[in-house]
Amino acid sequence: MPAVRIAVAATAATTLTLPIAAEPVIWHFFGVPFQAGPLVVGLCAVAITRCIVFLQTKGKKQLALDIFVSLLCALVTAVWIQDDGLTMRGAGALGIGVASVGIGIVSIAKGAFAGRLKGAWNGFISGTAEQHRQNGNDTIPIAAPPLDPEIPEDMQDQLRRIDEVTATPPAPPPPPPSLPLPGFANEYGD
Amino acid sequence: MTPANIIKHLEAGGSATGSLVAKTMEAVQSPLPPSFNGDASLFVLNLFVMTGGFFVCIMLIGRQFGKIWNDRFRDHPTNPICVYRTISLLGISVAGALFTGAEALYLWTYDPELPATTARAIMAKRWIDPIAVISLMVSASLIVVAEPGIESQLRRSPLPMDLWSRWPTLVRGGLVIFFSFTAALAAVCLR
Repeated sequence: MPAVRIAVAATAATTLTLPIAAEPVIWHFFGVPFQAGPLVVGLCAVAITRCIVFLQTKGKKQLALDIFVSLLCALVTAVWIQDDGLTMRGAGALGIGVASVGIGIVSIAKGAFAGRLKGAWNGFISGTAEQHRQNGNDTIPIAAPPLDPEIPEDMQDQLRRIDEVTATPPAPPPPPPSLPLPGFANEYGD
Repeated sequence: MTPANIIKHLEAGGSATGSLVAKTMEAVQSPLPPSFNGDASLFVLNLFVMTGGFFVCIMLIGRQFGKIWNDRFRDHPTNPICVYRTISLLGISVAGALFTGAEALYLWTYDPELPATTARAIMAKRWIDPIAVISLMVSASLIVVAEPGIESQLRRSPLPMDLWSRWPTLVRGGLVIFFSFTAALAAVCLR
């Protein structure tokens, strides 16, 4: 009698009580301990939010993009939860938040890291140039400006010095003093 | 009060510290809310249904309100279609989202080590539930008031009804419910 068996199984299932975890379960991935409860809750929150808000796909490319962004959100959430040791509530709220930001994570990361990357690149370049100069590889001879060969040798030096002095741009003239317009004594114009 | 004093007050738990719920929780140390009497299966069932119901109701709010909003220049608010959408918006999705959301907030916030926070969550539920019921009442009145106009329209043939062909639209909701169940189970069995 399958019906009876199903009924018995259903009764057994309802009377079965779930075990409450006595202490937090820890899973290890790549040798890093992850608290299982907050991890699963956070990932489920990401999945739910992505289902609700974003998984209204039209076309293969959009579907692939949605899947990849969802995976990225899940990864960010998992790493954040592990890093900060969040509780269940915090993990759920974080998962919902990260998933709602969605593809915006990429631009946030760009904003956070682009400045540092640029600074690091500039530092690398200037450091290389400095080392180059210290190695004595930067002695590029600057050609003397072509002068009139008629001018004698001792005067040429003097002329070059004058050129250097006059080559500096003159200071810009000070702006003309702003005079109050006649007939406007105060800000109300009377 | 200076801002520093206010922050100190809030850090100490605010006015919820000495509340009756907080005192009860300190007297009765229980990993689950006391009303479950230690039955973890019942707690998982409630957690799952309230979380999943909240998200499904949120989806329905988006759907119905989006339809009303997109057709706002085409359908006057008293058109039968708009009244039907308003009824389902207020009576099912808004009321359901407020009710299940408040309950899920309480169940997820319950923590025997944070009696003040839990007291605040359950007080929020006591304030949000009446609003849900008000929304339900508005929807009920709309059903009664709009009855002649809507029903005369619904009696008109042709009546194209093919419910089974629409089942793929339920897949997203099913996924949401599945993930809610996973989260509820993990909350108890993995902690």
